[in-house]
Amino acid sequence: MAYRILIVDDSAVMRVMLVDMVESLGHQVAAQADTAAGALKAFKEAKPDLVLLDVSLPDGDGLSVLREIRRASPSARVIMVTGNDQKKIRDQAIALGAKGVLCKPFDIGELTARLSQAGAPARPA
Amino acid sequence: MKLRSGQKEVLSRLLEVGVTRSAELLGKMSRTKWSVVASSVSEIPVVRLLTWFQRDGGRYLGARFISHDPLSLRFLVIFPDRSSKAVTASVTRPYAGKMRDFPDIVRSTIGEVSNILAQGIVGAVADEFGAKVIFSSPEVNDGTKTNLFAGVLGDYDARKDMLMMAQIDMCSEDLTAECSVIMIAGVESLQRLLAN
Repeated sequence: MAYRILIVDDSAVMRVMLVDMVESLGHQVAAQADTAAGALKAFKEAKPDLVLLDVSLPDGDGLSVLREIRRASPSARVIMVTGNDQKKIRDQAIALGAKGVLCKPFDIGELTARLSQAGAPARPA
Repeated sequence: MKLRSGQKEVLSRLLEVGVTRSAELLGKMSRTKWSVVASSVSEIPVVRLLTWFQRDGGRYLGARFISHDPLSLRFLVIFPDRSSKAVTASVTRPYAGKMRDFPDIVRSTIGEVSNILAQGIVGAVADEFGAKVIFSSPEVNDGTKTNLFAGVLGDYDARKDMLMMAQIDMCSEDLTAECSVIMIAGVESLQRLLAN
């Protein structure tokens, strides 16, 4: 079964790339957001199966969004997508319940691996 | 207030690690090899930094980022106009069909590329000191180097603040492109971090 995925990134170019990769893997894009506030709103409205969540957002940081999402929905699957390949950010993301951290720049193979780690089927029907 | 020689050595070593990582990341994004042409660390008063680039009247696209506690940093990543277009074309090539009518594709791409470049460098510093550094979203502007620097230095006191400036110049022969990554930190803030 295809996952419905919420994509959160402040970069429009990165969102286009993520949408292309997600759809080429057979999943659906449930919604897109470019801010922390937009991410929380889209999460409530679209009820995605999984969230790809950027760490740096213009109105807050993705770790705070992760905390809010997990508070609202403790079983939410979230993968952090970030250029911040810092140990402390990675550790904090996992401690807050992220299913994985995907470091930019990444290719479709790395995205597939993280989605699979988060429980998404590799080749959805 | 100045950095001690041991502190400068630590900083230079961390920058070397970070710069190597950044060149790899830029290479992966643009699918071409990038080399570090020059790398330097200087301590310089704000007022001098503002006049540093006055002779260069060329047009550049610059992405700036700011981080606050525990480490207050400013990053400015500068691409000459032609290089910004070459890098954008290379990074977005696999998605060219979907981005044909994309508004501000060069600014958006350079913002993202610059973010990843800056993160490569700051990651080395953050990990060394067990710190977490999260940048603001990129702000991308065009202008001369002097204009772009003035935007980054806005809230430093030109009369008294002493800054540490690390500048790394990179180039890609395949793309005939170049860029400069400039990291700026207040010397006092940096000394607090290096004292740990």
